[in-house]
Amino acid sequence: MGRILGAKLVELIVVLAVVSLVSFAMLSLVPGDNPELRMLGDSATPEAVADLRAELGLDDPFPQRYGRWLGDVLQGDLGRSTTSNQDVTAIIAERLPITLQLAAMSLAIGLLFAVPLGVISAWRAGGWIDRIVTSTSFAVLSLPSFLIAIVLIIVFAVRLRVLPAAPAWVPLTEDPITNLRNLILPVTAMALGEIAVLTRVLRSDMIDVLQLDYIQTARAKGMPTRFVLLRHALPAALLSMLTLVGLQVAGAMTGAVVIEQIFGLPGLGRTLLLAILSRDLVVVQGLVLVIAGAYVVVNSLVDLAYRLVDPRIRRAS
Amino acid sequence: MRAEPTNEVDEPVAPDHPRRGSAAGTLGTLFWLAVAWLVLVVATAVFAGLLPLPDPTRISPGRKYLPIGSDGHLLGTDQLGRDILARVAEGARISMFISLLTVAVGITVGGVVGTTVGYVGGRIEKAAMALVNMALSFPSLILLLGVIAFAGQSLRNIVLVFCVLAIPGYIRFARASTLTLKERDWVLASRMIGAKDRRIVFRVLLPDVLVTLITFGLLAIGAVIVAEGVIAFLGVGVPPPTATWGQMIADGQRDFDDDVIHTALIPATAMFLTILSLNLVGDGLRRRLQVREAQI
Repeated sequence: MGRILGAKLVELIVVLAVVSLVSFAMLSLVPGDNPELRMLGDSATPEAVADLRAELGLDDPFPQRYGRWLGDVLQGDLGRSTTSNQDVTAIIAERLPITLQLAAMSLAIGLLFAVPLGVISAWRAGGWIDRIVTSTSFAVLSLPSFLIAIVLIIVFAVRLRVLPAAPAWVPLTEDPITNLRNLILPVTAMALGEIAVLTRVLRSDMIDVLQLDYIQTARAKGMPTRFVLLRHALPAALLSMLTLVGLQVAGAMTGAVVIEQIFGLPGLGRTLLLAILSRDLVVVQGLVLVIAGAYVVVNSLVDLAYRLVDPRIRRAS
Repeated sequence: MRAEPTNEVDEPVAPDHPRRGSAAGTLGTLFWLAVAWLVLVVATAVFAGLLPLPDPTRISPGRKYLPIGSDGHLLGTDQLGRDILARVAEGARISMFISLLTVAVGITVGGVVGTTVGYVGGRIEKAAMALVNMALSFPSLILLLGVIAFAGQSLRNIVLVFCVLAIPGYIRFARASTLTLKERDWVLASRMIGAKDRRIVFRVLLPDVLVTLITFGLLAIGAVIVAEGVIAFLGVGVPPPTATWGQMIADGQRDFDDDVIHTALIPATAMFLTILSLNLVGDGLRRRLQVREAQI
């Protein structure tokens, strides 16, 4: 196990290094568009530009500049926005809670619905509940979250007028009721897809587990169905779904980009998009680094957790 | 079910596939409805220029927000008075072009590289798979947005980025299929009679690997359509005046204030039906060919 841990750690560090290299290269390879030079304005003389370039070390070779940038990043300095002159780290700290709340709530709701739906439809596989659940989840999987969001807005905001289409952001700590009410539509749009994916995976694993000998034994001994389903079968069937949940945590970070844009929520995703559209490249670079880095780290943790939890994999390796 | 190896040792007849023509009626009505919709979309995409439709970019402010079924505008007009049917047709063209090209490039390049690497094995395989795993551990939407931000929005850049993002997945898939195939009798027999490596890769392994990749590819087309829809919706897709489904939906969302919903709902429905149909057909074909998901 220790060897796998070491190998995984090396792999993680290599991937993170590549992520940082890509983020850095994106900005530094764009010719003539260096954000710091824009601070001088259009009327700058060539000498002033040359002085500033030398002072900022922009003429140094690529590895040297990368090393310096990486040093800053590791100390938490991601540079400053060229449009608002705000610290990129501060921007991220301010917007991250919004994205995290959105991702956490949609996953929690996804699990809340997926577990009972998956268990019931596997238990009565082929029955009417199962047929409805299976075909609905198949249809939902063909609906990208932004289409679900549009339909929800049409129904609940445009037609019924019961929920806001573009809610103002109110932090949970300030006014929990307004915060949750405003998040009903965005969270539903994200959660429906989660429910569909998780239900499908849990259902198919449950069906496999229910065929196993030990379940037959438990039934033969006359254990109550509920006990067999929830205490014997469910834990064994949960594994792949939990791995998927882990991957969804990472996926939700990027999925939130679209949902935040539709509902005008000022999270990381919308910030990234606005930065792209206003060509605020320092912010783009910082956000790509942070989001991609978080995604990679979460995925590795999930992979490790999976190996730790599942005795079958542990033995095989 | 397995076809017995014939005399042509190096070109076996699709070994693991059920006999063609059996169970013809089991695909179901839904499958054929999905096929019909896809045929309609592809035909519209191919013949959009020949159809008697108005110019999708022609603006007529006096005729904006015409409802569905208006005279001369079957699906109505949008916020600038442009014909929605013509724009949906052009959107189909863009979606189909980008997704088919991406998947075709992915299957070809990924198939050849994955099969070769899987067959050769050893250090080359290890190195290639390390690269592939690294590429796959990147969040693709973020990478896509980042690259487009720096490289600029254009059809060419979008297709390029999509292809680059698609290839690693196919390499992994093709390698996995190759590993299971290369120990089979007929492959060993080809080696025994002295067939050259190149012949084994291209004539023996690749045809079977490609069949697997193509069934997977149908589902992948849907995924590319979603990805293209997302970036167009976010305003970083193929730039206007070209109509794309994602961008039409984004424009339509702004009409909600005027209580107009059909401008967003029509392209959204077109997109949903297309993805649903691709999933239905892909799923049906995959079951038919018994390609197990576990192989991915």
